[in-house]
Amino acid sequence: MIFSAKKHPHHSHQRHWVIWLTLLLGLIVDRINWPSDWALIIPNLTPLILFYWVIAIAQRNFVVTATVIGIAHDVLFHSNLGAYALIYLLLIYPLLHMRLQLRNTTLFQMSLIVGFWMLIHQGLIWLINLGKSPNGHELTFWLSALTATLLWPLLFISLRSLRKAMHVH
Amino acid sequence: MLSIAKINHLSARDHWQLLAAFICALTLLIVDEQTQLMGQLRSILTTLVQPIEQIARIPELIINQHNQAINDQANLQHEVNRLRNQVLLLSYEKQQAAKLEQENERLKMLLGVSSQLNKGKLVVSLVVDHAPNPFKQILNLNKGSHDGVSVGMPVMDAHGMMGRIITTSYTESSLMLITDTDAQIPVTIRRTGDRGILQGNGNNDTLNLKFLPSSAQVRAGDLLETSGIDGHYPAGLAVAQITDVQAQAGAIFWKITAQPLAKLNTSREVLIIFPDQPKTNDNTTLPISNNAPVTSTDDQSIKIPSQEAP
Repeated sequence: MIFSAKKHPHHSHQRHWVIWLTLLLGLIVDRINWPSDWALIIPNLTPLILFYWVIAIAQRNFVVTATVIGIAHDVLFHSNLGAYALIYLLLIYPLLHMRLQLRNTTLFQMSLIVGFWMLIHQGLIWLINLGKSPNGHELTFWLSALTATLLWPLLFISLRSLRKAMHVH
Repeated sequence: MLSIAKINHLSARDHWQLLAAFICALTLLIVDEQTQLMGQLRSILTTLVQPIEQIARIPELIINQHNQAINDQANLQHEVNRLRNQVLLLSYEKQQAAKLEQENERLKMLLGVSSQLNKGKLVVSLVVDHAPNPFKQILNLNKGSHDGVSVGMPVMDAHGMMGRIITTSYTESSLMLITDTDAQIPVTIRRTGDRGILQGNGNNDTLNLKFLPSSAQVRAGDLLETSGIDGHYPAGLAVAQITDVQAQAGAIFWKITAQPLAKLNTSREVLIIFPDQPKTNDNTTLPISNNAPVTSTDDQSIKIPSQEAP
């Protein structure tokens, strides 16, 4: 079990702005025009960060968060308004239903789940673009699910440390 | 301790929220896809998320500045910028001259062609970056609604047509390249005057020419220019060169591939074509005559006055 369900005694300060801040950072990192060689090893961070918070914070349903971040993503990346909001809503729905099971998995198991989840994420992006080819980035596009799997432990540990340090619950 | 039920259970309120958000997102998506109603909303949202874009550009700026430091003589850079701007305008005039020459040779009048561009003004803009979206071919420019740029304005570089503006924020605008899968430009073959539709296919260096009847005389090397019949692009601007022509068995149209003339991946300075008097707040811009030397306001912005067609 990699999550602690212990309720923090100082729950009066929920500090949910930390969640927004991390998602904002995710958007910034995703928006950076990385050199093409690096693009392969940098998957989309925003959905991964959203994944973490949905699992970690049981008291929130993250519907508004997913919608707002999705629309911001649409504007930043010039996709049709609502496209990413729809994708994020579709993606968090199963997470909301399986939070407990996911919280009880090992880090390795969760990495694999994250990889599969990101594969669905990429599939939804592909579908919403009406099956167009991600020009020149076909391999990178689908492989980012794998790199997300590899990156997950590091991201998970970082976000958990932040959550504990900032008493976000 | 949190109970299992508390963690996994989605309340009726949660379900309603999810459903409402889902419907909103889907409606937004359909309206944005099928109509032009979201232009204003997108413009406002783009302005709101501008700080995110600007922060995200910092690493690229640092790398660029580091590269530029090699040639850090300020005067030299200033001179280079001024000359680049001059080259752009001269190239534009050269294209116009070539068009007129072809017109004379063919003894054809392309209706309203000559006057359209000459009524307008040009603003030089810098390419800030590209949108990292593998499904789109979009560049961000450093001129926005504050500078009078509006959706639909065509953009070209020194070599040819690049595309048109699809979104504007207060200080920036987004240019959809002609290679984007959503881009379609009505064109004519400069040599023969045959009309077709040039369509992007998502590749950086190829375009497809559609709806050109197999009876039309066409060959590799022919130049394609905007026909202007859609009202978005002024007529007579060079767009692409045909690279391959194939007959399709039983088809009534040629299968034609073309290559964009504009340097879509490398051009840093581009020209935004204002179809009419620009709504600009830049009072410092000095009008110049057709034969007067090029005047630059900030080394990146040049405007030329109305010119009468010869």
